[in-house]
Amino acid sequence: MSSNMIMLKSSDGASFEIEEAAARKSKIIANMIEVECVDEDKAIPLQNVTGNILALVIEYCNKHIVDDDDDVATEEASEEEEEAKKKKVDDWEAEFMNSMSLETMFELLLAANYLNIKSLIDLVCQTIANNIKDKTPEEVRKIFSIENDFTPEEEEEIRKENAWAFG
Amino acid sequence: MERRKEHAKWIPFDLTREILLRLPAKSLMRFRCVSKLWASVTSDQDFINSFTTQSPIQRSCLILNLQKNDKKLFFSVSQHNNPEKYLLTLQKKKCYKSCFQIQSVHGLISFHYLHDIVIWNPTMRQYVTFPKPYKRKLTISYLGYDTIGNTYKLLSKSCSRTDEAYVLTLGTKESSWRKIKSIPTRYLPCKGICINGVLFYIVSDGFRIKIMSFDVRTEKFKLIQTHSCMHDDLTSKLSLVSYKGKLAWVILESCFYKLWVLEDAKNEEWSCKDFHLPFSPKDPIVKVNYFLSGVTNDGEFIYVSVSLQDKKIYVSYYDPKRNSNKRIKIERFEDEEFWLRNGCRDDGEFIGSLPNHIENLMSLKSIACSPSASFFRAF
Repeated sequence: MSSNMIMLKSSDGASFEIEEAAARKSKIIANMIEVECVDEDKAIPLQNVTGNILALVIEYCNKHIVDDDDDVATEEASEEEEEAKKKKVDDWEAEFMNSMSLETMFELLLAANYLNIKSLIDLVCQTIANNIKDKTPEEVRKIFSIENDFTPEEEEEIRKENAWAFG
Repeated sequence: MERRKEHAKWIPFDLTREILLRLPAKSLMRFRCVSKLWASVTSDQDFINSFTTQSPIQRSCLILNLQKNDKKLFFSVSQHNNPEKYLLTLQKKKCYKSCFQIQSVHGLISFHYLHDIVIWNPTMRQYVTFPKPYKRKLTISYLGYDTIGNTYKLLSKSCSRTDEAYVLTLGTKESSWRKIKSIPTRYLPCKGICINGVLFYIVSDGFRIKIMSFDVRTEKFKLIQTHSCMHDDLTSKLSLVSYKGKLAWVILESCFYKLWVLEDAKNEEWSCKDFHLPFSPKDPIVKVNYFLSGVTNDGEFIYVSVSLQDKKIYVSYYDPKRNSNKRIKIERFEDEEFWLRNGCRDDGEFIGSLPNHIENLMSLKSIACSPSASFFRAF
């Protein structure tokens, strides 16, 4: 395991120290490291991510890098151990997302997208989906800042067509 | 802080699409009236394809089928999602209670009804009907899905004219039956099963029991030899399941299931596996009315037991690897109001189960429909 530490700097100037192995969860940062555009004592500036969101991203990466390492190191781990480990990660993810507001989720999603962390994008998208699945179209419009571009007649027709989905 | 309130304003649409793909079908149908963009994206063929292929394990469920007079009630049981109810009302009272003819293939359910074959997408609450190619002969029909061409085909055969078969491709153009050549065999009552673009069903060539395979894409039939040991006990019901993407022939022994797995269809190689029941056959809850419904994509065995005394259905998910068992109890009287509201005074008769059913957003509206469709009312 690499013990190299690198520095990340948020858009609002906060600096975070993170293990290189954890930072590599981000394809963008991994690329930067590959092409050696990371100075050892210089922080990587992340203009699109604020400090509070970056802290969450780092928390996620730190948690998941351990698991990835384990996969390689202990090939002989029994299936039960694998199961137990997976459950632990699932529980951690549920807890991690549970405390978050919808606003924070959207910001985290943007950050995960910008940093290109596929598994985090999947996790946040699924959590947002679970969060909005029982909402009304009006509530969803508000959440996504969408203007209703249907005429009342058009909207009525679609509602009628899918009347069962409103039950 | 104004920006905070409109948190999703800067979400690129490809991310919104990712969120939409993870919603249940019911929410998606409701959100079609959010905006024109949302309506068009969720009706797009690419989106529909991604929806069915993405996380099929999470979305797949077991469909239980109950019938009461002219009403067919299907409801889904899932470990992951909320249960859904689908009710289909048939106009004529008489309806065959054969469970052999009911299939769930890639989100669509097919069954015979009088002179028609009904194709129903419960997710979309839509159905189409096709008249059987043989009006007066006893007919058997199977639904198949070609994974490469993304098309559904109906295969219909007469029990008396076994050297021919009819095929119908579900499509936007007017669908009609085409006659093709078949291998003459005797039909045996068994549910057909479609695995990775190939339909399988059990037949007899007059001497031995064999498996007929029908490649949905190329429309070629092939007889597959069975292992001689598979004939030892034919007193139990013939049944086929999908096991780890392969065809498996199920034989029930006294306290375990024997699964003959078709390892290699080309070389007709079978392997045999024993699976113990996760409960004692003397278990007072399950009694004798239990059967193996199928195997989930996760490798869990789905047992359905119908308790006639207390009118309950029990679904057990048994994982042979972990030797763990989850049992779900379904009270048929639980939603009495639902039955009453729909004209049923008491509960329906249990007909059968359809494992690994998935939600599919495919619209059946554009598919050519026969006039007898007015016999049905679905919601």
